[in-house]
Amino acid sequence: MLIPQSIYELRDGLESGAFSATDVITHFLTIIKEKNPEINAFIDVYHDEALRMAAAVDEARKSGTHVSALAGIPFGIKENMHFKGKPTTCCSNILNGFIAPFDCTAVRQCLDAGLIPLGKLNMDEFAMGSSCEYSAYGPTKNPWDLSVVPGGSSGGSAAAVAAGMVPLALGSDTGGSIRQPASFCGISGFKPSYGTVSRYGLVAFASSLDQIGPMGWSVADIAAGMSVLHAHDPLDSTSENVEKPDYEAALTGSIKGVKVGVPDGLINDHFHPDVVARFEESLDTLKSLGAEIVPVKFEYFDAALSAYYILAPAEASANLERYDGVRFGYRSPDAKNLKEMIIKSRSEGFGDEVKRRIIMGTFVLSSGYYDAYYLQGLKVRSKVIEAFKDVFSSVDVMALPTAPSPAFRLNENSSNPMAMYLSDIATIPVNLAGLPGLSVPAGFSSDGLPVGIQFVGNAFDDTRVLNVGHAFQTVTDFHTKRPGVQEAG
Amino acid sequence: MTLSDQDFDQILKLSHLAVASDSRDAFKANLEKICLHVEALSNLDLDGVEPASWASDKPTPKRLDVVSTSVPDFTETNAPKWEDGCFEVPSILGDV
Repeated sequence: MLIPQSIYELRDGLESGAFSATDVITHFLTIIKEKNPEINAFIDVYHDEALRMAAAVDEARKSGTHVSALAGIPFGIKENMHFKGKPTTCCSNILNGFIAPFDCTAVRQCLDAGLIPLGKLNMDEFAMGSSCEYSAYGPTKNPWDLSVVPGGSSGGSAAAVAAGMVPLALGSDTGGSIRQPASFCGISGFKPSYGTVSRYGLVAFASSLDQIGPMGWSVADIAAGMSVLHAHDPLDSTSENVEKPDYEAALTGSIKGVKVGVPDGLINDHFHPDVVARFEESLDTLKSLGAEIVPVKFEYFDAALSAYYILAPAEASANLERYDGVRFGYRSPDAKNLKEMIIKSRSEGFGDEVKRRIIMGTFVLSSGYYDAYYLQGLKVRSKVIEAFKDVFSSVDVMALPTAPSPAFRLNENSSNPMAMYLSDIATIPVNLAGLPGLSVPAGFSSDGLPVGIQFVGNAFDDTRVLNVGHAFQTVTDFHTKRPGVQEAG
Repeated sequence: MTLSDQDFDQILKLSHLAVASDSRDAFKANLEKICLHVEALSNLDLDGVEPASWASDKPTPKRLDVVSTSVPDFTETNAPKWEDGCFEVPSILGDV
């Protein structure tokens, strides 16, 4: 039996009875069993529970009980989101054994829509990384080439979707952690406007930047995910109470007359020539669809990167102060007093990259350095927000490469944090300004690795961004290509 | 920028972290390298610019001050040490 990967095809097949939820879940569990040992995208698989939930959906459908249209479709959960009763470790030894006391709102919304969780997905520890190498569970590998990284921090989510282990995965994006791995793995990934999807139950990294979003093969799948995830949540004080658009209806595929801004000052010698070539070809594709390409001025990419590596560590150093070995998580067994217990627990529990960021964040917030670093970072953030407002006063969306290069090799940048940080230069400004950003596949490098293009929109203009990505996918087939196969099944 | 050993020790103290002696220089060098990179911001003219902690300029919404459950599920299971409804920790001064 051929089980499709597209959410709408899955939905239609389930509704028509072409296949059952049990067929669907069995199919994806089989792929996980086959491919996960070498890719290491899933760190926990809910095998029996998923089959039980599928049987319940089938029974409900058979008996005529009303079920949601998406009931029976599987999804994966990034390991920094709570699913009550299951471990949430953030792929850190410091949370080894921690059991989620409640559901993350985004996970709960998926469950309420009848989606079936297949398990938890690997990530960089506490979402701090761009390669999915900084994980207590070991690195995730890119399904396109097992010697390269899948990107990060949502590398497990991206690799699982790319390998066909799950049709939809939840990721989180603080500085590009959905879009960059989507680009590296040849899938679609969306960071919604800040406040559109609740952060309740997402373990905090940098609260003013973190945002949950969907990852799937196509923009249509992303839209299906957003239809589930978008909701006002009183449990998250930064959740915006804005009218929920009809995400599915917004995908008209028409972008005639849409003004697409292309920023100056981003692409330089550090950008891989294949990335530049695919980007230019993508602009031609947009032109062929009737879009107007407009050069726009945006001079804050370097400054935004610097500001991000002040502000995100500053917030992280405060958020991660709660890991002290007192109430939950790892506790060092041989401390002689309370203070020693706290320091040893944190020092033994956190990995090196998390320590680097806590140290940086503590430094920029410390007396004598606050004004020179943290305050400057906040002011740059104002300038970035203002610069985007100027851009969107003259164009509808902005287009730019998602990342400066295709996926790099495992261990290539792991000992050079600055090189790693630079891979987020095109995604970070979007988080600082709280805007929607979408990465879609734009072709391949000469080595056969996926390359993405990113579309960015004004705040809460998410559907326009998605429609541009969808239009792009109506005339390109990069999103249908899979590792090892030419066409999607 | 160059940090003195004393400055770096103070940052570690504030971070509640210790680093192994054989990796201490690498952590310190990394911090100095990032600081050097972000110091480029000092070249920007930011006089009179209002700092932005959040992307949104809306005030944080308020909610009713209603008492609800304060001890979540799995509190005891998740506690490293739990006794008589309390988290157990080593004494503040150590063994006396």
